[in-house]
Amino acid sequence: MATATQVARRVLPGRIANLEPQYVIFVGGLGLILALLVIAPLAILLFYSLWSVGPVDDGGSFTLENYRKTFLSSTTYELLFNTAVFGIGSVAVGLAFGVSLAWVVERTNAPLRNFAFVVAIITAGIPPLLYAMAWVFLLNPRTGVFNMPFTQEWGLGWDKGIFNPYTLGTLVVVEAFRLTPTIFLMVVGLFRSMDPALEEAASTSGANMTTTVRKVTLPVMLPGLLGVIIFVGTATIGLFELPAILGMPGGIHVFATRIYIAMDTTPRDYGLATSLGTVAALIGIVGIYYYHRVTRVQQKFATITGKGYRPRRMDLGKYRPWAGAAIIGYFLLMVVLPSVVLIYASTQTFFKPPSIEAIQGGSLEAYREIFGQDAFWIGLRNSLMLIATVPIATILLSAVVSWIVVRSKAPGRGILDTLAFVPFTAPSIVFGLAFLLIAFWVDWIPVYGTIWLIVIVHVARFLAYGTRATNGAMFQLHKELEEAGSVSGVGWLTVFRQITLRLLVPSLIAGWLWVAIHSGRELSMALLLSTRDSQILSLVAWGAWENGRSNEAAAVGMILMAMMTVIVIIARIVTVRLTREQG
Amino acid sequence: MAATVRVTDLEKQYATDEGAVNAVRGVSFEVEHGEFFTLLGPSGCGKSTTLRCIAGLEKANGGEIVIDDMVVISRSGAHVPAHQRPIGMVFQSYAIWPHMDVFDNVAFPISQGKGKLPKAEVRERVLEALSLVRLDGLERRPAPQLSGGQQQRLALARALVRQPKALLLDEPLSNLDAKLRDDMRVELKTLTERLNITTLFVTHDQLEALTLSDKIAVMRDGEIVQLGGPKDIYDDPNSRFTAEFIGTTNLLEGTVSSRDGSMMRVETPQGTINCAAVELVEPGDSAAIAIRPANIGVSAERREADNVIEGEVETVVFLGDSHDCRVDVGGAVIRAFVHASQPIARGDRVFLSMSANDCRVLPAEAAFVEAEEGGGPSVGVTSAAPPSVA
Repeated sequence: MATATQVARRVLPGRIANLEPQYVIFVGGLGLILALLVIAPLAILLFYSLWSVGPVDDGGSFTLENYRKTFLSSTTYELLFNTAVFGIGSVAVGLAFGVSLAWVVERTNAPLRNFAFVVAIITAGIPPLLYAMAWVFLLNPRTGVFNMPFTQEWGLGWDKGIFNPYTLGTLVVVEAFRLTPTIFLMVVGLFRSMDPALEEAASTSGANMTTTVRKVTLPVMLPGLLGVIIFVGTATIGLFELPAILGMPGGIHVFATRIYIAMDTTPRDYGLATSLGTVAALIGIVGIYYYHRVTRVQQKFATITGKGYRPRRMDLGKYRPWAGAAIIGYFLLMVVLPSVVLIYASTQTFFKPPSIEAIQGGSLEAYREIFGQDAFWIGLRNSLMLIATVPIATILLSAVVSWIVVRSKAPGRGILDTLAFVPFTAPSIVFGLAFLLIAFWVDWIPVYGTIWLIVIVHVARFLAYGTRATNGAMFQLHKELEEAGSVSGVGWLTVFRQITLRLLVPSLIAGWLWVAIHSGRELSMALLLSTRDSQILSLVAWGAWENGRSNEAAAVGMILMAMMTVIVIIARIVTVRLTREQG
Repeated sequence: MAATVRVTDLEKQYATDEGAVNAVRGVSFEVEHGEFFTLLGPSGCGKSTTLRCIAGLEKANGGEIVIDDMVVISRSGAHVPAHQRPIGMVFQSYAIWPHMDVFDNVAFPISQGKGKLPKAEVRERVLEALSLVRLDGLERRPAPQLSGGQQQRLALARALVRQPKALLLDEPLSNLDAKLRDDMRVELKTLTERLNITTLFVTHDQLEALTLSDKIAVMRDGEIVQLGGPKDIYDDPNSRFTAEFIGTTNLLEGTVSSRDGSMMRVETPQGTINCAAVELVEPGDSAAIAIRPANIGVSAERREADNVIEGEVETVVFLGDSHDCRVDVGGAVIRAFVHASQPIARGDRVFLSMSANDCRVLPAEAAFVEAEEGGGPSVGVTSAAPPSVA
């Protein structure tokens, strides 16, 4: 095939020559914005990890000293070990819970199946900060609700409860609980994207239930499951909230908390923070590389099931009530107890185990207290600002990026796709750190100390999630729907606005909701970037918790939860109304 | 009158993982005003790509396309975007926008962008287009609530509302069930004739092509292999590919032994066949003879004809108005259609008579294997020739 290269050479210049100039400017400009949002922070992080002084000092030179110090310290290895146990342990336990729950709900005739769905969606929305706080209230050695029978009835002594929230084991279990609904929802998606005919074909070939599961169901689902594992694993490794609240008091550190400590001491240890951050980002890049490879394989297996989706359900027979009990148990343990204990804690000036007297003695003192603080009102205003700007900006940018990536033949569209996904690789706190370094560098742009810096960081970060959602939606939109617009004599911008965007509205709202919830509750990115004027609600709760005012932290948390609930309800109403309009 | 659509030396390559693929290689044709022109061929032959280049949905790599005196693709590489071309198009999936109702779907081309018309005129034109396709009264029906046939007609109305110079149809009938497809075919023919609109039609269905078209371009591997009226293409295929792709054909393989004025003799394992002489082959060449089953007479006694060969009836399939007989002749099977009134049974010794004019001599080439959907066009009895000759 000697002609292949000749042909290629002939094709390329023609293709570029044929592009309309405004199109080139558009795609190029978008690429530049993404590069600034995504590549610049990580590059600056890498730079300072190889630089002898931090961003506030002048001078400095190239050095490997930061890495040498970091890797000569035994605490680094401890931290790596903890992170590994935390990541692998909680994903393994969460997978056991999540997959079995998904199987029970999707493939058996267990009762309360729809209920389990609702519960999962609610739990997945609880901010990790609040979840961690709730488990401290439940497991605290002195006053923990779970320790009550032992401390009071068995007379083990007031601080000798058998549960302790501040251990690596508890950290793993609580994170596993927190991951369960997310894993459940993702695995249900996998079950549903599998053509039931594959299993039916195995059955009609004479395979029994176990053989079918072993030889067909699991192998077909394996790439998808690997994708889920890498996805939640990467998120867990970068998590700050749980290790900060359950790990730090017991001296158990992971990447995120160690970086936080390095930046919370005076003077700040930029060398340690940037070198650890770079290592964490590298681990993330490896994880994401495999995630990409695995999900590409998965797409080969994927079958879109239309209205004909009727899963085969196993009759549980006499075990049916037990499955129902398991769903209720899951609901009680992972949702009801943590939520109730938070509400209760917000009414107690000093946390005591729940009792009739304690409940009667409860007050709204904490709420009165926070309503009297300026910081709360600034935080509320800024959090509302985040929710008003970040989701819409992220989703619109994502839709435009996806449109170019999925639909156009613009050269360099693959680069856009990769750029949009890069932010996912670094833990949130590392991303925050990188933007802090940028803010020092480009101090002529007056965003440091304002909410706009946090808005920018959030948009950059959530672009990774936003583009996954919009890419998927765009792939499912038949290309001819847009082509029909073009041959109707209408320019590409009108086609994009009138047809593409309009048809994507349900997906865009779902993506908007996801970003709104995550942006509204996000703590670790703002942790290093916020000043007094750029407080947000999650930081107000974190600050109260750190200063021992757990009732105020719980009260702020309740307000945050109430805000999220309102947003979910509004998004739901809008979606229902829109889908009804479209028949 | 000048041609409404003129395509000259069109080239289109795709870059794939395995290197560049030539989807369209030097395709040229002209479509006169009001003509119904069909691009016919198996999947992957480049017919849809050619249409999409005309629509502006694909960028050609070379050649020139002119629509109604507007050079939309020039040899210097200029490319008029799809929305500036005077066209209307119907897609295989119909591409009805589900977020709009019937009226808004049809109104879109004349109520958006540069071609925007005043409201009253939009309404008038939309209603006119809808009544043209017999969708009157359904203006406010949400588009997803239409049946397949209605969506098809809606797509047609949307393509026509802008009064395009050329109507482009990309396999528009292939998603309909058989009965509906027959009805729509007739309706499409009537409508395009009434409007006298220049139409470019892409299909892999030879029956659609033969019944609808004024002119057919048969395509294979990115090239036009034959261009002509439906009757020319059916009666006078210039290649074994066309003969096999269009209609049912018996093929006998052999060698041209002599030429005598208007007659040619071809030696086949079934005997010497007298054929009408053609310029495509010369004595000494190997060749294939194409004979339509309908042009073969079957009788119990030997009749006087240019060619008579003897065989044994292997199977008889009753088709309602005729019998489809498969006759074993010296190891090869020849298909013939016999009127239903003629008694014929399996095992009968029969004589096949063929006029020399019905025996088309074609250059030998590899047999065409339809790679597309199983139901595709009927390919004739390619097994008629014994393997030894091929």
